[in-house]
Amino acid sequence: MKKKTIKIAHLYYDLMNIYGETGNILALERFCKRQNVNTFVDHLSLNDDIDFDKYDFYYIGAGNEDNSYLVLCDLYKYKEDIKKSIEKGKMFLVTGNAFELFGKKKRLSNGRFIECLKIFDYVAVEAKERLVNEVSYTFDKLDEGKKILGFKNAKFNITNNDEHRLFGFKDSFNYKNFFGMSFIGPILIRNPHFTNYLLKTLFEQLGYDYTPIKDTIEFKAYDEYLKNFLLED
Amino acid sequence: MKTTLAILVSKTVTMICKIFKKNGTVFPGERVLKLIKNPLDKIKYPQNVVIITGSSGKGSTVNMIAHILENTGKKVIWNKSGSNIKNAITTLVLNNSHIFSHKMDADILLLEMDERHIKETFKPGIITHLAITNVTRDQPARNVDPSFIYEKIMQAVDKDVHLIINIDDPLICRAKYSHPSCLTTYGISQTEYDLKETPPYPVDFAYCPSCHSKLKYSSYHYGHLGIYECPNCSFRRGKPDYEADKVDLIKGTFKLENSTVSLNKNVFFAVYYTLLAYTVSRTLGIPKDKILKEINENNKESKRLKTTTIQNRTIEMLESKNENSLSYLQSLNYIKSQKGMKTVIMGFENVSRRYSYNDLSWLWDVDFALLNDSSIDKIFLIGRFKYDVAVRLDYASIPKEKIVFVNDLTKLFDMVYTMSKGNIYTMVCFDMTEVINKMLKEIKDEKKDD
Repeated sequence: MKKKTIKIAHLYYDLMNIYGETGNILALERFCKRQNVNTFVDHLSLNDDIDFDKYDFYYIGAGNEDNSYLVLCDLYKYKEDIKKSIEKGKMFLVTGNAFELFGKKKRLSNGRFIECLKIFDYVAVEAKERLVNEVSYTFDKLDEGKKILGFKNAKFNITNNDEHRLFGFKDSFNYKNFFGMSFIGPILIRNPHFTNYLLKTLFEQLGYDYTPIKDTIEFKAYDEYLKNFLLED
Repeated sequence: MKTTLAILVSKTVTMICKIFKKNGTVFPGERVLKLIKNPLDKIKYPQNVVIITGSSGKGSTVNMIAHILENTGKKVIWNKSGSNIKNAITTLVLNNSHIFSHKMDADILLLEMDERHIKETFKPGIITHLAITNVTRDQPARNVDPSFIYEKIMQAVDKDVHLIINIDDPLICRAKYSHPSCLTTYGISQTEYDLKETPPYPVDFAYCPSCHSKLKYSSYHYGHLGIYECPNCSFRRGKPDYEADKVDLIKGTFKLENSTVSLNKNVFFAVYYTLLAYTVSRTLGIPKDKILKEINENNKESKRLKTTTIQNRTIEMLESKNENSLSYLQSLNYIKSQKGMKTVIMGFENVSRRYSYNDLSWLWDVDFALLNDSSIDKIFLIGRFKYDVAVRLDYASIPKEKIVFVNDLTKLFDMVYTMSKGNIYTMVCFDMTEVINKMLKEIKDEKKDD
């Protein structure tokens, strides 16, 4: 019998990788392996022809501002493909400033606008100073109201996203299996409950079983972190 | 009057700090800046005001330059303490200025400076030379990303500043095109320690800043430092003015301008700080033979590497900067290159000493797989983030049985000496360095008493 496989596309891996984003891909591989499911990862970037139908899971992380605009220019050509892919229920995890690109526009502090992909209606508004903050939110879809731990290091606030916020986080957006948030770094490593939630959702969609395993080192680190640095909502 | 008052306040507060045995490098400048705006503007500076900045290596470079200059007859004022922010520089400059003439009695003011503090410390026209070691991902909660920091540095560079740049770093190499009039370049040619393929960790600068084509590297020294060119336009590293050649980390030497240069530590980053110290000294007009004499006879250890021996086991302290993945990489490469069995101590109590954020993303940019080696006996994890570090090591396929969690720090060396073997390498950040130094001193004192 052919072994089950999850196909993952790590998009713009060499431009949007400023905050340890590869950790997220490693987490997906590790968590799938624990379910005895294979992963197949393609690292794709500017000069590749990206197929938005081929993969089950698409990931883009954070990069510097210049790089994010290079990526935006490249993404324009896939706009319709991305829309179709999201409507089909393909899973997208888009973190850091990559998340800003999927909205309507970026409003700069000098009054100018940068047109974004307009896949969703949210708007990124440039703040006076950089927004650096450690945050935690309770997410009702996780077991026992477990918290999501995140670190934000952004230049923009997200507005016009009230009805689609994920776990109440202001700078986030959820539509079908599109999960966008301005958290940076390896959030799937730091939030094993959330990783289980995402993969369980994806596995069910693909008709695979998913049995969350919760006694691993990631959960120990998560619990220790909460114990040492318990953060309030 | 304003400058006289500033000098007076700084010297008085420094004296008070000394009486109360407090660290007087930062606080006096801080007090002055609260009282007086731009207190450094009217100081009569020495003929040369030399700034060394960049993400890493600036402290070691300044140490070596100061050694060369002082031993070749120059009077140098420099920030020996390593304090490199605006408050500390203000203290240093004011405390070394005459109260009435406002003159600094020196040939050269030599400063290691934080990348973000240069422009806000000195008004245009004061800095004569500015050297950039490298710009890599470093403390993102404060420094955002390398491009942001590069822009911050360049804001302090007016057209008359003599810029000295490491052109192995393509991000910095942009200055070759934007500031061509007053420029000296340095770099390291291909070495046997280089990677030929893209490194197994993210690099900061992969695309051409001019045409956005992917840069083509013939060789990576580490990170995005190496020998590169754009395949589609004229952006390239080119040949630097001062190029280290034939790097030999076994012998601890390299070739430069047809001479052999000795390293004070057999590690790759020592080539960079030695080469830059040479380049700056040459640019300041010090004769080549005198520089070589001082470098080759200078056996002072690098600030980042300190060695001691207890119970027949060598302990090397490798200060590894949190939130700087290449600083960790340097330590890992060094440990891997050493012979015999090894024990590693790793961890931190706080991510930063400047802020309380706990951003741990940088751990995932470090190539910890270098520790997945049969010569590593045990890795002792200390500090409040030991489980986060353990997750990272687990993902780097380090066997679980090699990991030891140290819950009571006071038992660290008892555990190390009973549970592990081989030379001991500590890979810790500033906060734990102090703690471990104190523990080692106590162990040594106990041995003496015995």
